Amino acid sequence: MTSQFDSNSLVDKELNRRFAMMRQQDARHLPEIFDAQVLAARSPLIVRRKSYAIIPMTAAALAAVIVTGLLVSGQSSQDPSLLYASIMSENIMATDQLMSMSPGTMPAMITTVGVDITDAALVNYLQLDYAH
Amino acid sequence: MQSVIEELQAHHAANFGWALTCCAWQRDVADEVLQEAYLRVLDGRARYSGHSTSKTWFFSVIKRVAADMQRTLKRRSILNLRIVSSDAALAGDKTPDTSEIVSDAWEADDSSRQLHVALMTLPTRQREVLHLVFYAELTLEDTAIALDVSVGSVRTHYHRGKKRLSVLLCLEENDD
Repeated sequence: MTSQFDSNSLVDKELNRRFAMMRQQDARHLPEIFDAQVLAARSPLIVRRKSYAIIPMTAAALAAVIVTGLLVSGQSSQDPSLLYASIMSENIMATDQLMSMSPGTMPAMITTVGVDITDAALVNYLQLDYAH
Repeated sequence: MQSVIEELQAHHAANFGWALTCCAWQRDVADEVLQEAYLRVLDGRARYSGHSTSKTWFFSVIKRVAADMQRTLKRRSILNLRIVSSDAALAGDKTPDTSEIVSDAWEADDSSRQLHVALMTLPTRQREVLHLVFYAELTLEDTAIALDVSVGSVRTHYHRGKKRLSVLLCLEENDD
């Protein structure tokens, strides 16, 4: 039984040997190294299309035009207090209408139609069956 | 320029081995990757920052080109597969068997074949780290630069990969 260190070094040694064999085999099938002219002349597997470069440029230009247009057209400086006043006066709030009552009328004086107060409970006339 | 070409010639064998590993030992693709990488080096699209050795830099360029090529080929194969499957559906044929797409590694002896197979079963990062350390004989620091990852990450992948590879190749049993 070998120690961990010895075992590792043996594994390393064996892996080095096997990779060296692989290296030798690869070297036997090594392709020729081409010079710059030959490399440039060869048609690559991936064909580069110059027209593709126009797409991001067009998109960037379009975005710039849109942003500039928005900035120019949407600019109208307004006093914040005037803006607030115009917003507040534009629509009358529904709650204001509900709470409004004629002058001199107190909330306790308003009676509900069809409801009478008996001794202990509220009786709705509409629910009473007078046929019996 | 002349010195760069000389450097490329000096490291050509190691570069080719690395290209093969990056392309899962598909020789045609590896050739193409290597050429494209050399083109990028020669025409200045890949720039040497001077932070590493030229060998490490070549490896990082090859790795980048291989990744680009894989993306392109994947897109193309998806398109081709769609065309083929629609043609087959029209003709009433079976879809092509993907098992036929195998790596065209040349004739190797049993030991090397075993190593190829074992390496192919490893996760990509572990395979790359082991290749750079054992095949290209880079240090862990240079491996980290070539793969653009941290040294700690390389160390982890190295130990895990080596352990797994030694199990796959039955090296641990031989050591006892």
